[in-house]
Amino acid sequence: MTFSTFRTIFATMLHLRFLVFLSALTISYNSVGQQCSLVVKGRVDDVHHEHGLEYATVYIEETGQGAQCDESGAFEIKEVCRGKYHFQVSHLGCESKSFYVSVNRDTTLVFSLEHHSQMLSEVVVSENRSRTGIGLQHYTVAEAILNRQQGKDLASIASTIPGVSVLRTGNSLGKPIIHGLYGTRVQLLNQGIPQEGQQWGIDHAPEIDASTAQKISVIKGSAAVKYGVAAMAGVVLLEAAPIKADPHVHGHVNLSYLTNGRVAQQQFLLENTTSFARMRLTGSTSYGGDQKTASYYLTNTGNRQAAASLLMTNDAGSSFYRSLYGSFYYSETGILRGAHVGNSTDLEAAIQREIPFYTADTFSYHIHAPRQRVQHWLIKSEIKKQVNDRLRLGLDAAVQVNKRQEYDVRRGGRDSLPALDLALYNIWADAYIQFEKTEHSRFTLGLQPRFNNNSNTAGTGIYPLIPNYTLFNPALYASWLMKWKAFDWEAGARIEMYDLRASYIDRLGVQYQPHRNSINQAYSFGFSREMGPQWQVKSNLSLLIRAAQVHELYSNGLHQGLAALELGNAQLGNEKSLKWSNDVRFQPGEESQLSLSLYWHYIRDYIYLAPTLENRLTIRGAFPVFAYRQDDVSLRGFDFLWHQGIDHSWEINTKAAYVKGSYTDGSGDLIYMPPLRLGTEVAKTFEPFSGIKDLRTALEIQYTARASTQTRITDYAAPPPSWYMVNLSVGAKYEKKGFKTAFQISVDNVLNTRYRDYLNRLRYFADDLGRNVKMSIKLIF
Amino acid sequence: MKFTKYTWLLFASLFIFSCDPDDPEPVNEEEVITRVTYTLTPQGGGSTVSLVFSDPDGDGGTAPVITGGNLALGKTYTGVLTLLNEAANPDEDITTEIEEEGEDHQFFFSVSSGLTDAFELAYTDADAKGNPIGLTTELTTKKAGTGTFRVTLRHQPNKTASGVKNGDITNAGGETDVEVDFPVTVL
Repeated sequence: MTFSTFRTIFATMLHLRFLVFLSALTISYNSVGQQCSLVVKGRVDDVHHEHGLEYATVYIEETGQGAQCDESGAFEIKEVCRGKYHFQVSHLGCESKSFYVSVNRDTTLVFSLEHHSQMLSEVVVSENRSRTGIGLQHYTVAEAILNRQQGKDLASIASTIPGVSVLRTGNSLGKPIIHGLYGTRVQLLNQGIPQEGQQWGIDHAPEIDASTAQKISVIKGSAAVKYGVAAMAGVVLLEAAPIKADPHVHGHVNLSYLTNGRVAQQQFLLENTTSFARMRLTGSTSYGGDQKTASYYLTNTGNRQAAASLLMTNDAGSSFYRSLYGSFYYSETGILRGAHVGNSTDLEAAIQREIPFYTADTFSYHIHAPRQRVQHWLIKSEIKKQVNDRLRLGLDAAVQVNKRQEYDVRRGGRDSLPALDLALYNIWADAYIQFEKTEHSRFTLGLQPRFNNNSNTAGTGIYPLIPNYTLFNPALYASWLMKWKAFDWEAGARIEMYDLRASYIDRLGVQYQPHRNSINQAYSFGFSREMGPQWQVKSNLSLLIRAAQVHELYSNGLHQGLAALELGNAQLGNEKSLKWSNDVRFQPGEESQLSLSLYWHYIRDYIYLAPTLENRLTIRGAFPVFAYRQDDVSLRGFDFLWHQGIDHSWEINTKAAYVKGSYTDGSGDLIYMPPLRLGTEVAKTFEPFSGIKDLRTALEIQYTARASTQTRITDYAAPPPSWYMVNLSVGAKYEKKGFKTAFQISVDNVLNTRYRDYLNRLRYFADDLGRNVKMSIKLIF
Repeated sequence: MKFTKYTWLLFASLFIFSCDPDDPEPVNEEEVITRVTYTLTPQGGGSTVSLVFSDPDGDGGTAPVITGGNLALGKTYTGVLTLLNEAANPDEDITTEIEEEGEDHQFFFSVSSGLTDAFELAYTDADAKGNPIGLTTELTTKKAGTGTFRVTLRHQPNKTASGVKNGDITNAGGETDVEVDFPVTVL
């Protein structure tokens, strides 16, 4: 009798450093059967509940043989020939999975499906015993949603999770806001690596193509112990799914077209396992032109994007795991022409306009100034060594290069000369050691050095807004996880050196070389408790001390978009943050889940850009002066999510998120806080018929309230009124032996509602997008 | 997967990296305007008036120096605008640049309440399409008063929009390259 184990790995389960393996055990029987009389039987399980999935189907792609599971999830396929097969396992509403198994004898297979995520087609609360903190809320965008959102930017995808909003500069440039904070207070992790870009400006979108990741999730809460002080408000994670051990080339090609902006997109993914490595290649391109509001074109809002990535790993189950990852991202984005102003008189005139200046009557693919062009490279390697049952060592290292060029409307044919030209080089590494006594008891100690070099490329003809600088930022962190009295507890601490050297020159030719050395600290304490299968409670308290960053200290120049002079403040002290986040999850039945997050975030000496009373007279007129300053603020809010399924066919998903940000001295609210958002989606999934399965239609209604008018800082224009948005979508899969496609038609803003989004900087000048129909087709092989 | 073996090298390199930022290079601000001069020469004799706005160190630093002037009532002046960039080395005459890109530029003139109806102004130049630029003008003083006289230069205005050709800035759009106020008295 031989005993062989075949491992399958689940797409959704790779989280942070630990891979969770789900095994399909093949237990062979004594059998002398003939070549084609083998019996394959087994069970299809739900990963989360370890019970069988009733009426799941299992079929062998190569032969077309198949079976449906009974109520206990058991199946049996008879008269199977010897050979290697792709087993296709599916369940109503689930993303079907393929397993490559060799059948030499009568075989018993146990397949596990992530039923959970498919049932909760909106968002899923992950159960990861991660190094990020046990009490933190970790939400993952379900695979089905990820498929539906294909082609959108990262921030939009992340905003399907309540509590996450998007700060925009037009439709193509968006950055995620978590619990009211964004930019250098939200960390983006691309394949485990902190994304390093120019994140100081609100028009700086993260330089990532979301389609290179198979899993996108959000940690709402301070994960600073593990990822540094930039994770103050939360983390957005892009992760790769493990690559299956399948010697054939598998993958998909996705083609889509969006009517608004006439955007054509393609995206592909190829996977293959060879003796050298398991490999995955992804690539995408997008080409779009002027977008349109309900009634007019947004001239010069086209976008080009190209991205590629290559991942090579060995078996993720190996005790010595190695991986190498490289990615490239390029984008060129036009900024609405009518949003470009010369001084505050122009700004006022532009805000007063019903339809922006320069609005063309016709559509165009051309991108003129103002525009920006961004490139990002990443190379990363990861090593994990399981020394023995208790000891694990890991080393991650990455190099990133980021180039940003911004072009303004300029005189004398200088439109093609960048007004801002920055190159950022980053090296980052994480070396850690982990002792694991049991699953509930673990100690981690890590050393995480980081080095940045940011330089202005000469020749712009403009004094740079941000000085040249280097940052040496090594960190030491430790976290301890334990189980005590039915609670999982975790405590962590991190200490960072923050050595910043800047260099800039003034108009008289005098060079300044300020040097600041500070210490950042982060402490975290949290617990998690499950009460029966229905309830889960999480809580986390994080304290963080963060030194002022380079743009807050030394920026100096004109912010063209808002006709304001921005001045750094070299006198800034540390910012202290205390965030308490709580999460309650209630799962009364298989088809129902409620989750509520409550948080309270107090920031002492919060660093932000605020207008001063000064108006500086220049030859172009007077400009308001904005300077960085510090105040005590608090952010309080909740996120709510309710999924209700009915008879495995209908589902109702309801979301709500609210945050109130205000000054603790009672002087008013904080500006640019996301307004209250509510949304409900009603969806129906139909029974499969004639090869069409997972036919799902959905109607979504979103309500966004008016933002606070009680802000301490007076905005250029009053917050726009509340608005409703109606979205529709239909998607299905068509599967016939060896041929699989998925198609999707979705209509955003069905009613072509005219609205302005408070969090879109272009709201001062123009309406937001009108109706947008997206058609996409995916070929899976 | 041999590459990954060398990860430690990368790790080690972090500690031997140079920590000094690149030296900033001096910026040649070719586009900046530091001096605007509006020279008003009376037709038929009289004293020439020069309205000057000068800010040689650009935005920030020392405050700009503004020179106003007194104009005689009932006279017609020939107005000539010159723009200079003293930040470039050598000084750069921006006037020619504006002239060459005439279709993309237009000057506008306006007054504060103290000078309402004090002037009549006419463009005396034109770009390739026959629309005014405003580098040369004819200014007639009609009424006595004291106030500020504003000169605005717009880049890429919509010259075909209503009123723009006649000097009305309301529908012009474009970015402001110059916006300077001069104290002026007509007596």
